[in-house]
Amino acid sequence: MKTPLALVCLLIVPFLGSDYLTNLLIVVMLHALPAIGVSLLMGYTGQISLGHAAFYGLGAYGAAAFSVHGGGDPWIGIALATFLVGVMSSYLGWVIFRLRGHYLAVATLGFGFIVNIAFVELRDWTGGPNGLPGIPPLDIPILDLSFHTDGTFFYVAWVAMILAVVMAQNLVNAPVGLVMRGIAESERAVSSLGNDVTSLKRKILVISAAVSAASGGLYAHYIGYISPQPFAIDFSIKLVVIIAIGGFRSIPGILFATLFVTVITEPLQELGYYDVVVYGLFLVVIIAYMPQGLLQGAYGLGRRMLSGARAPAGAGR
Amino acid sequence: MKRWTGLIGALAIVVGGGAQAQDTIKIGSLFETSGFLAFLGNQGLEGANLAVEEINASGGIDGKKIDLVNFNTESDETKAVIGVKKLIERDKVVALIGAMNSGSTFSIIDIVQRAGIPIVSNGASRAISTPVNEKKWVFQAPLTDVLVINVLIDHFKEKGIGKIALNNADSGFATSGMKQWQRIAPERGIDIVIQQTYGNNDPDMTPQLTNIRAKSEVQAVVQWGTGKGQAIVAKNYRQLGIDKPLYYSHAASDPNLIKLAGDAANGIIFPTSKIAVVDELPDSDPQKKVTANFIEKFKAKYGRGPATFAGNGYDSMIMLADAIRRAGSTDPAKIRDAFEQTVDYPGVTSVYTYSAVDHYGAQPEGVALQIIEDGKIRLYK
Amino acid sequence: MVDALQFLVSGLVIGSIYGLAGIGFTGIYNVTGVVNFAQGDKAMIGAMLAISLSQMGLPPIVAILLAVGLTGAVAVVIECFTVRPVGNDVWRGIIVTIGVGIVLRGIAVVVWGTEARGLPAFSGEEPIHFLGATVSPQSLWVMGITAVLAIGLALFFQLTFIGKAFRACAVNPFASRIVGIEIRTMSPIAFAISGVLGAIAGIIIAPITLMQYDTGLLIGLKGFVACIIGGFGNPMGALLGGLILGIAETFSAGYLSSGYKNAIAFVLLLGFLIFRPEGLFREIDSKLVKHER
Repeated sequence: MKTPLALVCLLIVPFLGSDYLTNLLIVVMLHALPAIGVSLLMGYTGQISLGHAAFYGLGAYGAAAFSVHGGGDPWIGIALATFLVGVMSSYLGWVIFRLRGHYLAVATLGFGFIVNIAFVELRDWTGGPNGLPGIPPLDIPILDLSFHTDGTFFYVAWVAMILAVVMAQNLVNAPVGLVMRGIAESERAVSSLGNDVTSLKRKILVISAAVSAASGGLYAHYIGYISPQPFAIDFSIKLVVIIAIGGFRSIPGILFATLFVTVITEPLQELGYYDVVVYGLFLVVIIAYMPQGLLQGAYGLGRRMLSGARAPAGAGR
Repeated sequence: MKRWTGLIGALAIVVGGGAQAQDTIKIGSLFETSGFLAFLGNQGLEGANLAVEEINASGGIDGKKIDLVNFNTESDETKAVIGVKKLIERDKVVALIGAMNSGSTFSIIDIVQRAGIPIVSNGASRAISTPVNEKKWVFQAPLTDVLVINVLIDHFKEKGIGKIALNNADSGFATSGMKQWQRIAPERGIDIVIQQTYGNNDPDMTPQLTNIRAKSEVQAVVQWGTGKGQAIVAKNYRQLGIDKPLYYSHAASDPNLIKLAGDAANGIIFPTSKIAVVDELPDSDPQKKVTANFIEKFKAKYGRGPATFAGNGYDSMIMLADAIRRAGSTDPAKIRDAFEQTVDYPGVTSVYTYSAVDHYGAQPEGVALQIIEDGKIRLYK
Repeated sequence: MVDALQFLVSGLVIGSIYGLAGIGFTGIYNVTGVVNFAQGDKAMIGAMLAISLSQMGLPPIVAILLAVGLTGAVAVVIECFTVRPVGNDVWRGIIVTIGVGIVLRGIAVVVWGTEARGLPAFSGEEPIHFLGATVSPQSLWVMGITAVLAIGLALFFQLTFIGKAFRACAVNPFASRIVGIEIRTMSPIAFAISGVLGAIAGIIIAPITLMQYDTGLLIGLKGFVACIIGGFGNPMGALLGGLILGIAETFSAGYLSSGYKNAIAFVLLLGFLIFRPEGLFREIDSKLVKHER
């Protein structure tokens, strides 16, 4: 129950007067959407994806192309891109969900690569490696609202994140959430109960991809410039890392992990060339030794250390 | 509740710190020390750090030392946006030096324009600072592709070369170069008979070069790329026995190219700044003294010779310091105005003249045609 | 026609490089079922070590042997501290090896910087002509060593006791424990072998591809695709998959747009995954079954 309260408390951030903090949280909230998407698919339903950066990127490029090349309204562009990515992912799911384990991992990885190569090569549409500048900011003319600044865009990102969180929570708490978890445990058992496993997996993929694409569209209109780089495989990996740190199946955990991964790289900058090494070691330790994620893992570790310290007193046990 | 204590703690780390006493002049830089352009960003940062050391050793600017704060932008736009906001707000920098990645600059133009902080970008794409009336706060320090392409075409005209082949990488730098070639060459009567693209990380470029070899009417081959890719091209070119003159971009002025390509690098001709040929320059050359000084100090500090990109970082910093000195103030607006009035400034990379209509500064006389002979770079005569 | 022959020859060379990178995956996979995403980075570390050691004045052959041994040792350390705690959890195995790759690349930047390095070719640079096509002598080394390693490893899995024990672990860890074959003892051996294979790959391709901190990543990925095409866990499959991939790439670069060449690899990958996920050869012991939960 504390999570909703904390999310509401976030609303005061733009009033703290720090553009840097506001911007950092916007990035966190925008990344939280694809992270939630991956969590639904991977954490809850047990289907690994190393290609979600592609959905995020397709949403961004789709929305950007619509307003830059087509001169269309940014909101319609985002909606259209989200819809198209959803449709596409449905077909993709039909193809890739024949695979399991690391075959599925590699298939999604390959999909991510192909999409990124398309961003680089379809120069007329995407601007190639030099990117697509001049993406207009979001606004609502009738209400005389413009989301050009960090302080105002913050609320757009906040609303998007809240919608995603509510949607995800409802989904996993509904009966279908139980089926999802069942698929992760044993597909055979679930399908023997009369569930269409493949169809459900595809539906979750569509939701997951659409959430990512919507976030990508918002990102494009926020930064005003996109290039293939932020949508490369590194971002897909970052999302999976977020899920692992967040403990796979916990929406609050994922939100925390998104914040953590974005924020941790800032103090690491002080380490100069060592920042990447320390970041990587950190990941390895969390994943190898804290299967429940960082929060639960650190909590468990702390408790073990405390009980270890108390052990002499209770030596009679 | 525990969860949120951790969260707030993490935030406190980020937001903490803040303003310091104003006995130093803070300048922010956005060099990428990791990510796919790290090999350029590191050199740029090394050059900029050398400049800071030199300025501070001679007493700083009006008694104030320069404090250069680098934010590793990881060759990533999202990071660049976070970084520039941190530098402006938390470190309160008065001016910025930009990343090597053009994209990292594109993504922050809006922010620096609104914040009113001058930035000297090291991205090579000319679109960074044009149109100038919309990019009042944005300057560029490297040689731009337009400049060196025109120098090469002058040379082709002299040699009677009218038909060329173009082989370029798929990086931002090389794609921008390719676009400029395809625009400028026809205008100036040069025919690009065949154009090929290779991947920056490819292990082998013989297919592309085989296609070029098949076009017998080609009189010269132009190669546009950076890093190890252009060394592999040189090796493959010799392996395939292509005997046409081979021209490279200004990125060939990299001691590592000769080290990697070995004998295959011999005969490569390229237009670039004069770092590598400083000994051969006449004493009258305005860049001779500054460049010789730069190379000597760079070698002393880092134990190896500098590449062009180190010169870019060095020039950006030195010119910014000069502008601050002339402005007599650390007010960003005054620094910007002073920077725009930089005239005939002899830097390592080029001679720079900026104006209200020209924010890319580098002048053609800063470019010299060079050739690799016996593993050494010499002036082309 | 000469052009086509050149594309073919270049394709065989690149294909051998991919195949060689792919072979390194098979050892570990055949024991633990873990796909080691840091395999390419081991090749990079091996090559960088060899370059540094030979620059320190060691004779080339000593430098190479030492580099290969050190990389094998690094692989064992990786197994002990990262892969073992994860156990047989497929995703955490994938993610943890991705993390290891990040660490290895980070260390490479700290130690060797971000500039590329090369290794002198083993027997000169004078190109060899063959019916109008040319190859560098180093490519012959790559092709030869790749073939030897692929055949050697295939025989190792089929004929030797340890090789058979490896496969037993992969097929059924529980049953193999009953007969006294413990994954805990087999897994470090497998990692050592894959580290050694990775280092050899990195060292012999370094004169051609040159090496920098992130070169291993892409080479490793292509090696991975080669494995999928050929059938995972099968060294001969990896070799054949690599050759197919290499030839497909050079011909598409030669006759189609060269920009899309990298996409070819992943289109092939998806094609095989969808229509023939077991690869051209089946996995040595078809393990598609094993991961069905």
